[in-house]
Amino acid sequence: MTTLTLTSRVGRRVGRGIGILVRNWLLFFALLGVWELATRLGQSPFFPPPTEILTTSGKLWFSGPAAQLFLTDTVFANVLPSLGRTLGGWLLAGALGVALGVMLGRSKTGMDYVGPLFAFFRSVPPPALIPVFIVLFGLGPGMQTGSIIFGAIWPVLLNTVDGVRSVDQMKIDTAKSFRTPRSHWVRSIVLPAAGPKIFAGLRLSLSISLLLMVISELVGSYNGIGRSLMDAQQAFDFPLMWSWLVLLGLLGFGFNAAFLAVEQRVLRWQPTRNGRL
Amino acid sequence: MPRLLRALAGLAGFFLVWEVIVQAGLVRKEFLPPPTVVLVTIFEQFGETQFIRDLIATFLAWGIALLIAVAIAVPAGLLLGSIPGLRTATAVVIEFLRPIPAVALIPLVLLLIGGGPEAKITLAVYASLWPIMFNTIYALGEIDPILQETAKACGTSRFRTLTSVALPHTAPFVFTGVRLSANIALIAVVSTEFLAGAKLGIGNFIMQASTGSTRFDLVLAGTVVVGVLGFLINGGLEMIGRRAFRWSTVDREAVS
Amino acid sequence: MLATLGACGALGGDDTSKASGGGDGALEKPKIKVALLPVVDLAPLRLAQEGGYFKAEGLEVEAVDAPSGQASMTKMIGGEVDIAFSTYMPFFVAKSKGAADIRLVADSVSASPKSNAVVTVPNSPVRTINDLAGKKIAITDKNTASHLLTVSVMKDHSVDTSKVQWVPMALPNIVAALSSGQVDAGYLPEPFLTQASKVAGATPVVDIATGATQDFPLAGFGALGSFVDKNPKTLAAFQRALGKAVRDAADRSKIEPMIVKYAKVDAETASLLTLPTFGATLDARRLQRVPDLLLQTGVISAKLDAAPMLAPQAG
Repeated sequence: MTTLTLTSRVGRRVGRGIGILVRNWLLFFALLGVWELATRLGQSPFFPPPTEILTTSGKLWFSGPAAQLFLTDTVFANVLPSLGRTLGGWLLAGALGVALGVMLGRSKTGMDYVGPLFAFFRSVPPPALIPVFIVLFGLGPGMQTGSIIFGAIWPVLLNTVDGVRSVDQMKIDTAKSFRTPRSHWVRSIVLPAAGPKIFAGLRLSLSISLLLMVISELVGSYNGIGRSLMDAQQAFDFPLMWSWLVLLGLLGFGFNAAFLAVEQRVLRWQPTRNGRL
Repeated sequence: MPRLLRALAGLAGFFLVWEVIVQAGLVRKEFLPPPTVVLVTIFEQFGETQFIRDLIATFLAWGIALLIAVAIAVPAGLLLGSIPGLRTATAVVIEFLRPIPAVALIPLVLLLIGGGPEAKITLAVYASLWPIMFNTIYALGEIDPILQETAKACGTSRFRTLTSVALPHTAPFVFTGVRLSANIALIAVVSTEFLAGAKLGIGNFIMQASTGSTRFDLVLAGTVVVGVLGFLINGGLEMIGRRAFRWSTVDREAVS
Repeated sequence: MLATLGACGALGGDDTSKASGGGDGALEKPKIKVALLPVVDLAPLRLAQEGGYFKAEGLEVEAVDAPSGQASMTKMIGGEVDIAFSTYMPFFVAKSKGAADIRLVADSVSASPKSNAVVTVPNSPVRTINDLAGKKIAITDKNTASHLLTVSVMKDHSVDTSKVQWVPMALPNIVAALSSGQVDAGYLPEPFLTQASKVAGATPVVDIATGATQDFPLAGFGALGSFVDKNPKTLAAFQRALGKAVRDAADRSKIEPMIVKYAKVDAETASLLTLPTFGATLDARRLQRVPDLLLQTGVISAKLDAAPMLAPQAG
């Protein structure tokens, strides 16, 4: 390969890459423009234009004192507790799910006993869990975190079991013949092999956690993002309501994107992952 | 011991533990009725017209929403996905809209559409569009180019290519999307029922039972029944998927 | 086709009742839906239903349950019900924000002494009104009477309201939340007030109908401007029947059976309840106190005139 061909190849690659980037974001901004236009033309109080939402959001979250990084009290009183509950619940669910999943996956008959039971638990629509938790824990952070954990654990658990079981036979036999110690076996062979499935489960778990956070707050809480959303609607302050809504969208998108990035890095060595979304 | 017996044993074990916890007084009986009470309540409730109507209302709303979602999302996905330039661009936009928890829209929807079945269905349709559309678009991108080249070489019309090549190959993916959406739609319907204080629906039943009354067995009964509904929906769709797409060699689990 | 119609019924949607005539003076909409709360304020309406007063006017009233005045009004704005019962605050807030063309169609109650109170329970840290600062207080929803009257009465006593945690929940839950310690105090109207004292040993911290909020117009019925303008005869029929029931409500023996049946309390509790002052006809000047309070507490930013919001009052 002459250098000429290489650089032109790279150049074309980069050009294509930028082209794709520009095109993707172009559509996104075009849609934003359409949104702005439509709301300005429609003049409905329920749908304020995005620019108004932006200014309201700025005032809501970023007009605080410099000492607090310009964050307002609202951020500390509502956003952070909600985030804490969501992420905390998700992490706990993840840890429990992986631990239990590994145990059950490695046991030959374990899943036979609890498989259908867990499949049932997974099928309960997460919002239906909330009244149960309300009666058990009352209204408040305990109920919310409990609901989140109980709702988010199943994808992780079941996917972990799936992943652990799919470690191929050759690896198992090799390890046995080398008499690999169990902890090393689990840590260095099983978990990495089950990695993709576990991560898929964790990703689903994350979106369930977010969903449960919102709805548990809508139903019973005195602070939080969901609560603030509801309050704003009840005060008929629509720019405010949309600010919280957009925040939720950004959180959902951000969590997903961040998680995907982490997943890409951690599972980079997997041969089948290249070129996958 | 065959698997079915083991499953039943697991179920029995779970009930046993539950019963013991309650009888031993670790949890108050009013707060966590033992399984015997709950099962009896479930049987009783199936004799109550109100409960059956609630169940049917939820199921119907779910079904209608899913049908509408499929009817909109599949053609839209096929259209958007087959135009190469548009494919990646819309994928990005969908990636933005998809993670917004549809339940966050409930307060707004209640104000605009009221709390009746229209609200439930609208929200469920909105929430269910994205997985199906995304999967359809993704699937179109995954068709083996050799097949498309072959079709073109044989002089197949564009439309024919779509129906004979694209559609069968995307079908398994689309179905996975539909399965996911089925779940999401049920969640959306039940959530709206909670917050709307709708007239009918299992979500409403559960919510009313949990407000102030001391009938926690009703709450659990409702939760169990809606869980069974979800379980049947999941299992049913999984079975259909396996049967109908047995021929497909594509790894359907790729997109979740 | 029949299946679809049947399905619509099974879904729980409205059975759109096109005017099937009936009744004298041909009401535009003989069947209407009213969103209600499970409080004694609605006893006269129930009396009008049970006593056939509505029927005598050619009207059929269907009651729809709502967990709070806010929810009730939301149903009305969303089109699910025609008339909503609520404490007055949400109506005025919605109108001030231009969210909907809200009109007030009938009065329901004003705060009479001891009919509404903020209560506490023996094992709560709240003893006097000063203890309310920074605590968890249960209300039905933000910007309703339960919220704002508590704020007003706390301000009257110079108690700081800024750090209070307002926990919204449906009225039946408030009693349970109080006894289990999830909240430190709660706003309760009747019948929950008497119920709470019986069941949870609740004692009033402060009576709402004192100070600036004495004899305050508490709750009433609202509807959208479109409904009011299109159905004047229906509205008048509603108001007449309601007015008659309110007049009869002066006789406690007529009202108590309604309370027993609909508020789900036993006859003994019903006899112990402190009834609010029932009213039917709206008076703009009295009603003005509500938006003025809203302005005062900073909930709305500009003065709102109540008079234009009143629908024509019958009788």
